[in-house]
Amino acid sequence: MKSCAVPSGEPVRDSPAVIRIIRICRKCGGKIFSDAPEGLCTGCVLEAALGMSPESEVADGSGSATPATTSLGEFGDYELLEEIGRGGQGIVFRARQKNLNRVVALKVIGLGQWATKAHLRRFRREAEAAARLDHPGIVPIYEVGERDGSCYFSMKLIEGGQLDEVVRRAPLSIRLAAKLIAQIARTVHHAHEFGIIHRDIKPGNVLLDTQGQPHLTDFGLARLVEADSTVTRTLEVMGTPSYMAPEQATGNNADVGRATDVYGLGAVLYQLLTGHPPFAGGTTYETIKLLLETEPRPPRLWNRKIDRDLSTICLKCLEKDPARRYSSALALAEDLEHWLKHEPVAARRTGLVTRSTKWMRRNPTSALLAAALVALATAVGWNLWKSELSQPPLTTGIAVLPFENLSEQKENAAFVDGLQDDILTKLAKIADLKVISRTSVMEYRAQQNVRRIGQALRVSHVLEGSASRNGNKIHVNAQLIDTRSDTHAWAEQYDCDWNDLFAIQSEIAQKVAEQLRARLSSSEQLAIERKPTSDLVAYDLYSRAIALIQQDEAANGPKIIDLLNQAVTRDPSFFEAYCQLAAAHDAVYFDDRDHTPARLTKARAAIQNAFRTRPNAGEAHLAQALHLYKGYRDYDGALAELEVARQTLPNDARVFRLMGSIQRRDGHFAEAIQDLQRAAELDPRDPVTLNTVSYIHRQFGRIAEARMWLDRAVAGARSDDVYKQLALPDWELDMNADPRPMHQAIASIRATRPAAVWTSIANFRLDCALDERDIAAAKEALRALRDDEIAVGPQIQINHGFFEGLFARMEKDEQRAQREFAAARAEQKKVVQAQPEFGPAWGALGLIDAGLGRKEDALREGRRALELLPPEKDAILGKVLVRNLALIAAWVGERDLACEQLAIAIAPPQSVTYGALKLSPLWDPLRRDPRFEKIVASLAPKEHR
Amino acid sequence: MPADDKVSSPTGLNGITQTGPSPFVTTRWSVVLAAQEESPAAEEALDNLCRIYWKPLYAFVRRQGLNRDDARDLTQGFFALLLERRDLESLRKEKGRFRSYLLTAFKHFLTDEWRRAMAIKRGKGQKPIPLDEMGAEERIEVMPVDRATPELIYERRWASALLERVLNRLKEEYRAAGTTQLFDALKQLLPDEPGAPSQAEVGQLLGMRANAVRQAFYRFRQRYQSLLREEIAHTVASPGEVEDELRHLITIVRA
Repeated sequence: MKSCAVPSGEPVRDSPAVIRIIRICRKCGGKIFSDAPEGLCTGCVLEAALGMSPESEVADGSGSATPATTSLGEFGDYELLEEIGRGGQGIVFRARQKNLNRVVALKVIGLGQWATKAHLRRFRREAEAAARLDHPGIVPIYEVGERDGSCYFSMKLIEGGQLDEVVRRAPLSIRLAAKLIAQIARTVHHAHEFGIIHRDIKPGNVLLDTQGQPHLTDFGLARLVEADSTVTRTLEVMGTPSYMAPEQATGNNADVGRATDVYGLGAVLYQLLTGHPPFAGGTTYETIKLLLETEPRPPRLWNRKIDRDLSTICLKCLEKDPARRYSSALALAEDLEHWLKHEPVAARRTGLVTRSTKWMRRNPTSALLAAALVALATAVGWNLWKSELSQPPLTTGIAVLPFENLSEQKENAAFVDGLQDDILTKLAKIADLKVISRTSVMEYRAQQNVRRIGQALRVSHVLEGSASRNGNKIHVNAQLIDTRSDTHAWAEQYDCDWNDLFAIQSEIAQKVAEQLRARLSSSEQLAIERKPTSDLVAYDLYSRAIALIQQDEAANGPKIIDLLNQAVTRDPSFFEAYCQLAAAHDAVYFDDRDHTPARLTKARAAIQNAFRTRPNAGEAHLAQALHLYKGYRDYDGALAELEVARQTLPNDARVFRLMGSIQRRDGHFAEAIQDLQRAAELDPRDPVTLNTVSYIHRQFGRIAEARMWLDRAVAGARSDDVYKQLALPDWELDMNADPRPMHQAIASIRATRPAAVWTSIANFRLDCALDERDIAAAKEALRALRDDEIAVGPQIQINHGFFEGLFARMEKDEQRAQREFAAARAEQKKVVQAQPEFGPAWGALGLIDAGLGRKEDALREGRRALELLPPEKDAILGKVLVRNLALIAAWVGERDLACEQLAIAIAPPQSVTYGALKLSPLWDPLRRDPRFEKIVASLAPKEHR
Repeated sequence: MPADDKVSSPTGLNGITQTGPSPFVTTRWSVVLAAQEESPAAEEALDNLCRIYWKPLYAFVRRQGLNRDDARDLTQGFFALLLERRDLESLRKEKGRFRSYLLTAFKHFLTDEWRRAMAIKRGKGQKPIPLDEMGAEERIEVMPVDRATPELIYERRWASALLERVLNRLKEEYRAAGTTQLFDALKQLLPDEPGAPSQAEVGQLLGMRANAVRQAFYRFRQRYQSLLREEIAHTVASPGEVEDELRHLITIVRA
C-alpha cells in the first residue's frame, strides 16, 4: 500500500531521465530524440551527405576574393560555379561549359551502387528523347552523359527558382495558380503528343523564370528507377510520395501513362491552392496508406476562398482511378481556362463514396497496400511492417472502465465518475494511444470478463478500480489488466487526503502510459500533469454537471448550466468548466430551446474565458468550433477550428464526430462518413455516431450499409437506453411502413418502465399512433410532451394547437379544428417574431396557416423558411424544409407544387420516409393523386414493388 | 576586415580537406582486419573503435531488460575481453563491417561461456571505458516506451554515435579556427528543414553577405560529408562499402 503517494500539486514523475522525443522533424516527419547529435534530425543530416562523393567532383576553390565567381571544381567539360539545388536525385550546379563558353545548369546524379548499366542506358534514352522536345515550357536539355559512375545532363539555366521555393516566399493567388497549371498542362500535353510521359510532376520540377513563366524539367527521369518496380528505389530517387499517383505507389508500372501526369498536375494545383500536398503522413508508409485508402481533403476545407468548381477540377485530377481523371492534359488545361473565363466547367462533383469504388473494386486496397509495403519492407526490414499489417491488430489501446463507488454516501458517485473521466481525458491526449471514449465504456460498469471487454472494444488493456470518499479522506484502488492474458500489468492503492486527488489522477494516467509504452511528447506530458482546478468544491460542481451531461444533456440543460456557472464563479480560471459551459449554451440554442442572440452571447463569453485561461488549448478550439457551427452554421470556420483542436486532441472522438456532423450539414457526405468512422473507432459504442452513419447511408438509399450501422448502434447502446428497444421498430416503420413492431415496443416499455421513460418516448408514440389512426393514443402521447418538445417531422418545432387541430380534422370536427389552428397560429407568431431569421419557425407557421386555409400566407411562409435555410446552407434541415413546403402545398390544394417539391425531397439525401408518406394522415390530401402514388411506390422496399 | 573575407578564407580547414592520402589506407577496421599477428596498431585501432561505439551496445543490452549497473558491467566486461583476446582470427574470417561484427561478438559474449570468462575478468577490474565517461552518459537510457527490437535500437544508436562523432570533430575544427558561432549557425542549415533559419537569416545574424554564407555553407557541407565518409570508412572493410553503409544507416534511422 502506498500512502499519500504524491505530494499535492507536484508533478508526478519517478522514471529516470530517459531519451525523449523532443520534437518532430518538419522535413521528414521523423522523431528527433533528446540525444540527437546537435539536436538535429539524424536522418536528414545523414541524407545531406548523399548524392555526392566528395573526392570525385569537388576541389576546393583557392579562396578567391569574389565568391560569386569562385569555381567549385571541374566535372569533365564543365566548370562548377555554384550549387543551386539538391535532392534525392542529385545535385544541380550552375556551371560553365568550357568548350562552348556558356553557363548551364548541370545535374549530376550519384546513382550509387544500384544503378546498373541497363538503367543508365534507359535513362540516356529517355533523356535524349526528352531532349528532342522543343517547347518554350520545357527546359531544353543540351547534353546527357555518364562520368565516374554518375549520370549527368546539362540544360538551359533558368534564372528564377523552383515553384515550391517561389511560392514559399510569396504565395500565388488562386487565379494565378489556375493559370499556371493550365499553362503547364498544355506543355505536358505537347510532350504526350510525342509519346513522352513526365512521371514525376511536382513543385520541385517546375522552374519559374524571372518573368514568372513556368518551365518543366526532369522529363522521364523517374523512369531511371522504375523498371524494377520496387517502390523503395522509386522513392529513393523521387523523394516524397506526396505527389505520387496511386498507380505509381503500388509499383504498377503498366498503369503509368498520360493520366499519371494529369494526377501530378492536380497534385501541384492542390499544393498551390492549399499550401499542402494532397497526402502527407508522418512517414512514407503513412503517406502511401493515406494515398491508397483515403480521398484528399477537399481544397475548400483548407481555404474557403477556393471556388467549388476549381476545387472540383482539382479533385478530378486526383481520382484514384486513372480512367476517372481528365482524359488528357489538354482537357485539364481547357477546363481550367473555362474556369478562368467564368464559363461552365466539365468536371462534376462526384462527392459520394461511389467516387473510387470502381477502381477500388478492381484493386482492393489491402492488395495495393500489400504491394507497396512488400516493396518498402525489403528495404526497412519486414519485422517493422509486420506488426502494422497483421490481422486482427489488437492495438495497445486502453479502455478506462468506470470506477466502483465504495463511498458510504451515494452523492460521492460524481467524484468517482470524475476520477475515471479525468484519467480517460488525460490519456486521450496522447497521440500514440488509442483510448476508448467514455460513452463506450459505461456499459462495462459491473462486468468482470476483461478478455471479452478487450475483444469487444479492441483494446489490449483495461484500467479498472474502485474509490471511496469519507469526509476528507479518499481511498483509490486502480489496476491495469492486460486483456490478452488476463494478467495484472500494474496495480496500486492510494490512501490520501482529498487534496491529493489531482495528483493521484496524474500519477495513474502516467503509470498507464508508461505501461503501455506510449511515447509522450513534452506537451502531452504537461497535459497529464495539469490540474483542472485548485478548488475542489468547484471540481465537485463540475463533476456533477458532467454526470448530468452524460445522462441526458437536452433534458438537463438549465441544471448543467447552473452547476457550471457556480463552478466558474468559485474558480474563475477553471478552463474545462468554461468549455463545457459554452457547449451547454450552444446546445440550448441549436436544439431550438432558446434560439436567441442572448444565448449566443453567453456561449461566447464562456469561450473567451476559456481562451483567456489557456490560449491554444484544443478543448477551447473544440468549443469554438461547436459555437461557430451551432450558433452561426459557419461550417468552414468550425472545420478550421477543429483542425487546430485535432493537433492537441488527436484521439478525441468528439473532434471527429463534430467534423462528421458538420460535413454532413455542408453536404459533403463522403467526408462526413469518413470522419464519423474515425469517431466510431475511438468511441465504438456511441449510438449517436453510429446512428448518424446509418442515417446518411439511408438517405442515399444504401439500405444494406444503413442496416449494418444501425445494428451496430443497437448492439452498442446501453441496455437502459430506450433507443435500444425502439431503433429497429423505427426502421420497420420508416422503411417498410409497418407500425406493428413500434406499437409493441412502446407497449412493452409502458408495461415495464417508469412513467418518466414513457414521456421521453412520447414523440415516437405520437407518430406511431397517428400512422395507426389511433387518435386517443395520439392525444395521450401529445399530453406527455412540452411545447418545446413537439416537432412535426424531424427538427421543425411546432406547438400543441397544431396537433389538436389535426386531431379535430381527423374527427371531422372542422369548427374545433379552426379554433385549435388559430390558437396555434397566435403562439407560433410569437416564436417567429422572436427569431425572424430562423427558417424552421417560419416553416411551422406556414403549416399552421395551411391548416387554417390561409393559402397565400402559408405558401409565402413555407418559401420564406426555405430561403432562410436552403439545402445549400444545411443539407439536412434544408431538405426537411423542402418536404415541409410540399406538405404546405398539399394542404392548400396546390398539388403540382406539392408533387414537385416532394420529388426534390426524395432525391438523396432523402428527407422523407416511405413509412411517413404511406401512413401519415399529414399526407392524406395527396392520396389517390397518381403522381403522389408513384413517388410513394418508388420508395417502397424492393419486395413490395 | 569585412565579414565576407573572414569566411571566404574560411576556417583554416582547407588543408585538412585536401591534404593527405585517401583516408582508406589507414582506416581502423581495415587495420584490425589486416593485422596478421599481435600488432600494437591494430590494438590501438580497436580500442579507438570501442570507445566510439560502446553506446549502441549498451543500449542493446539495456533494451534486453538489464538494469543500468548490469548493463554497464556487461558492456565493460565485453570490451575488456575483446581488447585482450582480440579474437582477431574470428574477426578476419568475418571480413564484414565492424558494426555487424561487434553485435555478433556481443551476442556470443552473452552466452554462458563468455559470461563465465567475464566473471574472471571483472575480478581484475579491467575497465576499458573510463567509468566517468559512462557516468556522464548515464542519461542515455533506452526509451522505455520504444517498441523497437534490440537490434534496431543498436543500429539506430550506432548511427547517432557515428554522427555525434562526426559533428564533434567538425565542431572542434571550427572551434580551433575560432568560428564556433559559424558552426552553430551553419549546422542548422544541414538538414534543410522547413522553418529552420534560412541562409539569408544566418547572414543577417552573422553579418555576412548572401554569397559569403552560401560559400561558407558549401564548404561546411563538404567538410561534413568528407568527415562522415571518413568515419564510416573506419568501420568497413573496403572503400566500396562506404556508400552502401551510409544508405543502410539512413534506412535504419528512417525505419
